[in-house]
Amino acid sequence: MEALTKHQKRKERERKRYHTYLRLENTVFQWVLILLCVVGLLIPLRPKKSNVEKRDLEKFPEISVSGVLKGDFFTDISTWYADTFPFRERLLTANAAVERLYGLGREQIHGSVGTGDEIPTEYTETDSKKDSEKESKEASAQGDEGGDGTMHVVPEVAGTIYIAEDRAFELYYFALDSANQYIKMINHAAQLLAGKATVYDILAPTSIGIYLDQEIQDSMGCSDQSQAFDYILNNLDDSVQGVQVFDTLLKHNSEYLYFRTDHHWTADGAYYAYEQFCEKKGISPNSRDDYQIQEFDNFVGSFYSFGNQAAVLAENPDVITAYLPKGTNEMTYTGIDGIDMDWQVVADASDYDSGNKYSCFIGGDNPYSIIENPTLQDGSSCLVIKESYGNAFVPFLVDHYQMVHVVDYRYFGENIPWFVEENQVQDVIFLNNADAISESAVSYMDGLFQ
Amino acid sequence: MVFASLFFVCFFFVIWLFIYNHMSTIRAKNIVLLVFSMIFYAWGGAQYLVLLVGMTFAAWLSARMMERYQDTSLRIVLFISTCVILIGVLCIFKYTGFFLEGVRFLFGAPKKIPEIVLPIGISFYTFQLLSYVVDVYKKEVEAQKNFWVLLLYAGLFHQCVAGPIVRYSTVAEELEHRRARMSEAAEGVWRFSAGLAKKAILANGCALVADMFLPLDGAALEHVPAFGIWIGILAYTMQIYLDFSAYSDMAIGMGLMVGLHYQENFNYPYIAGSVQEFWRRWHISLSSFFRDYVYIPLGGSRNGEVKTIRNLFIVWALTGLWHGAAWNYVVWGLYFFCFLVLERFCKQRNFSLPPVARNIYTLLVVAFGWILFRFTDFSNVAVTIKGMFGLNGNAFSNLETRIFFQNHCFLLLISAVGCTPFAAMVRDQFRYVGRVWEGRFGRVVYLAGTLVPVLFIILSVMALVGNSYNPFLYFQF
Repeated sequence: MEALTKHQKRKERERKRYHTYLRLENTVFQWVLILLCVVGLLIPLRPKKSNVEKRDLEKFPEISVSGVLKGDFFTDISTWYADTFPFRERLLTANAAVERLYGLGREQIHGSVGTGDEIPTEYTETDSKKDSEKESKEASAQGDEGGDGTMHVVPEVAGTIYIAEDRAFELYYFALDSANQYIKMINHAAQLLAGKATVYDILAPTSIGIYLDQEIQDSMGCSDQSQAFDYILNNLDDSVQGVQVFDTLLKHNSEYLYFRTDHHWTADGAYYAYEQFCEKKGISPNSRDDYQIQEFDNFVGSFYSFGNQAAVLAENPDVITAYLPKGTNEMTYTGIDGIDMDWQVVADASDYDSGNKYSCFIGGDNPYSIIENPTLQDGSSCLVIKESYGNAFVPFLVDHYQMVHVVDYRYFGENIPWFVEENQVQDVIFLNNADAISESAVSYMDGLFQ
Repeated sequence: MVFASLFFVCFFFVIWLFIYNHMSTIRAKNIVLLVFSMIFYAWGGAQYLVLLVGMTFAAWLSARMMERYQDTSLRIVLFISTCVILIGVLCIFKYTGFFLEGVRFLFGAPKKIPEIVLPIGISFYTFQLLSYVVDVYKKEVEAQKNFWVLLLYAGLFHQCVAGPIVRYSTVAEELEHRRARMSEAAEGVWRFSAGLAKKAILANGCALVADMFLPLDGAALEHVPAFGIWIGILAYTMQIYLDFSAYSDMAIGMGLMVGLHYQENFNYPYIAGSVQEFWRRWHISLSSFFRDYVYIPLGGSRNGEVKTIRNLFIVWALTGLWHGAAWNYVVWGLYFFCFLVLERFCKQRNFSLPPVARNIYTLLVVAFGWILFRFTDFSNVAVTIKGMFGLNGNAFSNLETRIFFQNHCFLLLISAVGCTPFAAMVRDQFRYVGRVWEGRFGRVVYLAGTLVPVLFIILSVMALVGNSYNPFLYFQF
């Protein structure tokens, strides 16, 4: 009898406890939802712009009769509600952390894997009309003035991004037709400048050729940049001073020559190119120890936004080391809007957006910049024709010329032979990275010589 | 409005539940339910509300009149004309384009085929109303006197747009007399949260993999290596189950929260040992609808072998067509018909596969069926099949495939577990421990279990933020 009561008591306790738990479960659930609802209703907290995705978020839709009848109006409200949810970026980051648990995540790939053209050893003519599809691989960039007064550069990455561990690469594919056009363009330039100026051509490899294991490159069908550069340099006119920097960079590839989160080289990478350039020109380069150094940390570059905001990159930001020219740090650039600005060769990028710090070099990509070195009065003058790879390189030239003119071929509109004559330029230096040997880049440069 | 959207989860659902729970009478509760259902439905286009209300009105009126004119010939006229109206409206909206394309193929005219937008949920609520009219005609249920209650039945936002197809007889009593029990509400919380997570995390994740390896664009499909195709089929197989059953879970969960009991729609179909068993576990409310309202009225399996096979053929052609107005869906339905006939044949000769082989056979048949389901274009089906055996000139795998698979392997694994009863078993163990074990340990275990639904909700909200891509698959029906 007693046992039964004990059993009953136990059952009763169980029942009560279970009841309490159920109530708790329901209450917690309801309060969490109510909290979410309240958060969702905090309209002023709703973001209007996404910094990560670089876009404006949805706006609350305008009501219309047909929108109500067909439901578009309501769909847009749902979209607006979700797109501008308070604390959106933080929730996205948290979700990215969850998504990393979906798999091993040691490597990532964004974009599609392709194949490059075969790189011939002899000059091989191509029909320049075909391969128009390659144009989609081209680099393009533009700057615009951001709200905080710093320059915001849309990165020049258009290809496929491969991320291994904490380092990203852009896959390189050789396009024979573009290479031929590039060769023709440089030779044409040299012909027009013959007797007026010496043409230098510096071909900068991108990080994949210097850092990534050859076997992995092969498995993605990537082309060999060293061979590609050889093909180009071997086919340049004898009057062109080709500067091969690939081997030097490869030899030093244990150093910090390229950013992990950005498609550019570091000032150290550019320094080795500068060394090779000096050798070609027959002058002696400055030692890196001679410069005053500035460092900007927390740089998370173009590979981050183009690699679908891969968290490994954001969590391992780059550090930019800049070497201040000894002669002067003053320069003037002409912006895309045509307005002249006094600036610094190496500007303080500490407060720039973390994605924008590469702009510390010569103010980013501008149509035209000029640096006058007051310590030299010998009338020496050079012109650098570059895309953004040139930015980290230019500061090293400052100590060797009285005048350094810099032109970004994508924005500059004047005729180069005329410009060279007018400004008594002695050295014309092309600095192009492997991905800039593209149809569109070449046609921009070609335009400067027409 | 889709269930797996922030607007629904964080706004509509919360406001509805809050107001509903603060109503004291069943009448007030029903008014709240109806108003929210109408808003929910209008969210997909206010004009279609007219259709829902109109069709419900037709069903209500004819059912009332059928009851009044007992035992007269008017009764059967009413019954048939109502069915014709209901099915007719469904056909006009769903199959006009498909039919005219067939006509154009045969006769070269008409040149222009009108594009008709399918009103949301029409396939589901039409079937609900049909079941109501048929059941009233067969005198299995009484006609509903109150039009608003019938509208609540047909338009209830829990199941109106994507099922389960609730029979009127299942909820007739509960529409006007119901009580939400604490234990059931807690169960509802679980079902709702688990369903949401299943959709927002697992199904959407599997969809990424499926879209990567089974792209709808034929040119891209040709370049997917064999390994990718197989992973894609696996991912799509899981996606379609997780997606659809998640919707039913959420619907059933919301029903339980307010004391409405809907029929289970899925019973772990991928553990089935035969195609027949699969269809007893998959979209149960639809297959039982076809069984009760088509197969059995046609005579079922009682009139000899030939007629049985004819009946099966009709049912499966219709099942296919119900899923979409395109030939691939019809072929998909008839594909199952073939296997069902085959299984029937084997059963008659007492042939059966050993246990595990049985499951593998079923899974392969079903997974292959999903290829037919995925591609409206038959040439893509051919490309996929060739790709499965490496006949598209690709290597077995490549770097992209390997990386993508590596980066989603745990997700696929968890999704696979999510397709089995394992998770529910674990949860039941937690419950049991919390309930029976005395002392601190049992309490901690149970409390941990309590927080799981909340964790599901938070993870889902995170996954849904900024994710505009995710309409439930079954919205196209």
